[in-house]
Amino acid sequence: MEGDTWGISGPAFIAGFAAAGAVLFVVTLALRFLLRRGRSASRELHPYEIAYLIGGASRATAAALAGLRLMGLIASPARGRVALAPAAPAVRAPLDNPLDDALVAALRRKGSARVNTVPAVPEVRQVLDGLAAGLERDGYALGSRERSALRWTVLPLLTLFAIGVARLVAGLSNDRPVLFLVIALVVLAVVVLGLLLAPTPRASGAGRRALRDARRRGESLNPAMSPAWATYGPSGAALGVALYGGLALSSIDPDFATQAEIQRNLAVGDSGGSSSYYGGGTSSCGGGGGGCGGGGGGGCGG
Amino acid sequence: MTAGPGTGIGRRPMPVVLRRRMRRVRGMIAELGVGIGWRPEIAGFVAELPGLGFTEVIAESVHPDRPWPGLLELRDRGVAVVPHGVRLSLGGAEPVDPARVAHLAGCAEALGAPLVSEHIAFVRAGGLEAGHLLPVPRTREALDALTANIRRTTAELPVPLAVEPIAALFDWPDAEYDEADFLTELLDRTGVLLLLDVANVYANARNRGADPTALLDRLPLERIAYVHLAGGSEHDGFYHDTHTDPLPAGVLALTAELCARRRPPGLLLERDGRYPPAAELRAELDALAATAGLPAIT
Repeated sequence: MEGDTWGISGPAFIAGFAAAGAVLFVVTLALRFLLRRGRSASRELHPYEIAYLIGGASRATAAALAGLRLMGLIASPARGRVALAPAAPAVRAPLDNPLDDALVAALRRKGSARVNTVPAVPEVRQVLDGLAAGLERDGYALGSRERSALRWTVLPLLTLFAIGVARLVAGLSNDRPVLFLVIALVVLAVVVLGLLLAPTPRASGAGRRALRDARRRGESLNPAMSPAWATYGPSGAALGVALYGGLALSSIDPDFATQAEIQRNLAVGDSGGSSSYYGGGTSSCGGGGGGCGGGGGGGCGG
Repeated sequence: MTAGPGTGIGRRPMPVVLRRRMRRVRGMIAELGVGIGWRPEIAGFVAELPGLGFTEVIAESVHPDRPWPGLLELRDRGVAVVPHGVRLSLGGAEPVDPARVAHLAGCAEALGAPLVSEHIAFVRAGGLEAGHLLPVPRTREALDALTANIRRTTAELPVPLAVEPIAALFDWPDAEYDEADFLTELLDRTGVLLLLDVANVYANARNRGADPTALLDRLPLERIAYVHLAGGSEHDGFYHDTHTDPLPAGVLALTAELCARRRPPGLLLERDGRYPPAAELRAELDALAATAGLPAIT
């Protein structure tokens, strides 16, 4: 009978392997928590910033369009398009937010625009990039470095997995029993895959706290309450769309929402649920280059 | 048996906050200030009124075991929340439904209400639901039935009850009392408080070409717990108390007349639809506070 593979007995290896896996898993989670924590930040987020944290550039655009629509400034002249309203009240410049001004300027310049291209229109894109940079600077959103570091946190577990595979191959060629090792490797593979496939979040810990606060403050904007949008005004409408997406849009102006196909064109989901804490998921990435904003593509690539 | 403050207490321990409220109202009617009716549609607007004195919620829309979180936040802020029933049918010939009374009492406890209110009306008869509030004939028989129902109700309530006369679209032909006598007699018999709808008084008088202040002069104003005010509009020569329009000058003027006689402990704006921009609602609340000589709540 030959000796133990690598000079380590099967039970000893499997025990060490499992212990290393558990320790590395905890370390990985702690590392990810620390990376995501962000800095402590404490300023009031604008509804467009909240929309951006939840669903990126497209959701921020949808929120702004809802506010402009409530002001009577925009209309949908044809399916999937937006334009300045023919009878738009005189715009007192500047509006509440640079994004409003950029949208109005873009629509005035272009006449009308396909909704899905609006976030990528240069003047709009510029403001949205600035908004994203502000969120990152103030610690509400993860920067591209933090996001890429998050993806690298899987490396120790991946290394352990590789060691396990090497042992498996060696064990098999050595005619040793490998059942427990196979089970351990399957468990590890599931964990590693889960970490690799988990969407890279847009919001930092501080950002997620800000979103929780916004959700609590915005409970009265839940479409289930039939909010009186005229009373809440444009910023209330924007916050409603930021938090509740397409449902809020349909509640604010069903005809406009349907005609402009905002929900489809800007990939604004219905849910205000926890899933939308994280980037827009795959659909947000599909919707035009502008939809992903800074580094958003990385999250989708897994 | 009187149904004044304190009836029904001691049957089971009350939350401290409720007991504190009770002390405020025992003997005296609680000072409520200026408020606006809480509706889900404008919950966020109501929540952000810094000086809000009190609010009112339709009792039938409240689950006592899980009230709207926004209402609990108001309660915890010290804003009085008054459950306002619309389906009890105090004016019905048959006894009030104990389950509905229990619900009203449950709302009062859950919301820490200083009082509850209902209508002097019936909404069902002989098992048929009318679907809306119907006026009670001003007869001795109706008064007896109403008195019995109010006593059944207050016996189960942890807080005082205020009753609100509804708009009389028509007068029953065999009326034995006029409105002021009927109400005064009812309040005397039962010891309950009055919830007066100023907009209703205005609408009734205006549509009949009568002087609205005449009724004010004959009502026991010291028994008023609070008043309702609402907007309306005129169609085909008739004034409609719509609750969906701005407060007209006439209603504010009548409110000023009332306050000159005796300022009610509470004034509540009822708005039930076509909600205007927040600035307009705030302006209405400011005008209301100014009319009553109270500080603005906005």
